[in-house]
Amino acid sequence: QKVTVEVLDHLEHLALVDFRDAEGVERLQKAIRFADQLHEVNTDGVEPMDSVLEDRCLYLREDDVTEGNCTNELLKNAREKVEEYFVAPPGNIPLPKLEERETFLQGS
Amino acid sequence: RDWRFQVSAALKEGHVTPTELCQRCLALIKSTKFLNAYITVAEETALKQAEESEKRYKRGQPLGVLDGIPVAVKDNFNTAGIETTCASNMLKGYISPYNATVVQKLLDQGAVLLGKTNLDEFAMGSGSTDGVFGPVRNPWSYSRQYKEKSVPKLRSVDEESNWVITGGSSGGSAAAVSSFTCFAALGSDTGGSTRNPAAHCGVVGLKPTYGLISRHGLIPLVNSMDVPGILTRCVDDAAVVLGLLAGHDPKDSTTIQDNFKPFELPNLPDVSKLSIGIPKEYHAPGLSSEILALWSKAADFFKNAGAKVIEVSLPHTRYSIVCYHVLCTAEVASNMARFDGLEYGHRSDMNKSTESMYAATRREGFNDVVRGRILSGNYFLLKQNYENYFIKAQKVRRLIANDFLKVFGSGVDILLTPTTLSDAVPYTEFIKEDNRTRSTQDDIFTQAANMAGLPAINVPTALSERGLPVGLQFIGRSFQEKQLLTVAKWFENQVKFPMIQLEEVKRHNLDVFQHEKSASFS
Repeated sequence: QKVTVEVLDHLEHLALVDFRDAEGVERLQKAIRFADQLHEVNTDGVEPMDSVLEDRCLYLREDDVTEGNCTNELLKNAREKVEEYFVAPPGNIPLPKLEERETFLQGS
Repeated sequence: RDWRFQVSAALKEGHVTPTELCQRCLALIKSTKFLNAYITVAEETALKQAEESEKRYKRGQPLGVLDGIPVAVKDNFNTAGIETTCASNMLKGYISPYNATVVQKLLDQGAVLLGKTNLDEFAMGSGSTDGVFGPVRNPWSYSRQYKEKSVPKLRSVDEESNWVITGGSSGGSAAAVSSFTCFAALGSDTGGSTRNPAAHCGVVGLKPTYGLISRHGLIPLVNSMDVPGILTRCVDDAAVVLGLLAGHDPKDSTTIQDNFKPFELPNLPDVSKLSIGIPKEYHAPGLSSEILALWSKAADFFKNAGAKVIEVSLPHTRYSIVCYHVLCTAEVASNMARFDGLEYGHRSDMNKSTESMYAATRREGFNDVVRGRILSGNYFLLKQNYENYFIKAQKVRRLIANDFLKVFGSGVDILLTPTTLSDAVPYTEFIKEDNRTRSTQDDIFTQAANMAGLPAINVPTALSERGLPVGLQFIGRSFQEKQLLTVAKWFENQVKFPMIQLEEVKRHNLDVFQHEKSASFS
């Protein structure tokens, strides 16, 4: 059962990472086939496990501010900034549709 | 006697000064550059740290046993002022503003940080071959032991084509310790990334219980499985480093709050009252006959010492790697989302929109392996797949963890298993298969411990027919590191693993710090 181009395109949108070539797509196909082996296991009545520490309580601490004021330190690592802001290109512009963007999937 | 105490005693008694020691190690790093174990060598800061340490020793006030001891850290731990790359273009040039908690703890003890070690990109891999700075070479490739076993006609061929991998993903750290350039190194372990290279490089590799050591500052791969790993040349050293790193960290809410008490291992460990379990499912296809024989021999050692050695079953073992594959890629998909070029790391010039900038940045910054795992992970997390893959894997995870609980609950104290399927393979052979296939094969004995959060350790056991290290793994109960390390130390004393015969080590007078296997221990 091959993954459809629609799903592949959807994944590229979600992940914001590209398949790049046929090998990339095949890698996913192989990964899915590999993962399908899980369905051989009977998990009736078994609860999913989030963490091996599930038997312990999460704990809270006092809401005391003990660190911070490191704006300059943090801004040092950003390429584009203005005063104390990180600068992003315009938002709310969706990634171009399959037909319009540069992706390996276009040929599929 | 462990030799870290040896070097520590040497420093205390003034036989060697911290600056001399630091300089020797730095020189050895230069001489062994071909190993490609280090991404960044922090020469200036290391020498400064060594000078400060020297002042303390002169005053008779060393901070502790680790004062003045050269160490190395895998390049996926944040180190303030020192580049942290994760061997990826995404973080090339990234200078962290803070130290990971474990790094800070080492520095607070006066350890001398020599540099950051090489790894597979973002710790994804089992060979330390897939980072942007190139593969790490196993120091044993250049050992007399390996060269002597090479087929005579190959000896005349350029060594270049013969070198073997370190295993991974903490290969740089393992190589650094194995080649005597440092006395301890930090790695990380998500599916075996500390134990696997430890086995191939002939060093001790400890994976602590999940929740014992802080992950704050360790760039995360799989939040529910990652742990910092400890690599040393002997078990006693690992116990010392563990003692300094373990304990609750308010900055990592997945560290347990229990009080941790550092421990010293007994000089003459006794295993006669223990029950050692041999999981039959770990007799896996592909396991080399050599390792099988060593595993059997090891079981006999314990039997002869009076321990109860029994076969046990971990029935879901064969699904462990599949389960790991799904959970790992899913968590990776989430964790890698932070790399978008805005706040740190690589940023593409693409400026049309936020999304297109993110996409271009990630296209430029990540290698195939990382991108592949992100895409797989996102697939398993799709609404239509979530129940069938992600939740299903979480259920199987519980079954795997329960397998261990049952066995430990039935009176077994420690499990004894192989660490790897075989000794290290030549690089040219390793790259014939892709990263995921290799990881699937190579993680087979190690990743179940990560699924269950259990402590596990590789102990170098013997040299293979090719003259390369082979190790065996012990898996213990949650938070029972003292028992685990006691058994490991006992075993280490039995096998008397040989020291690497490396010309460069001798030349820089660092072979004097070899672990002395005294007969009085057995």
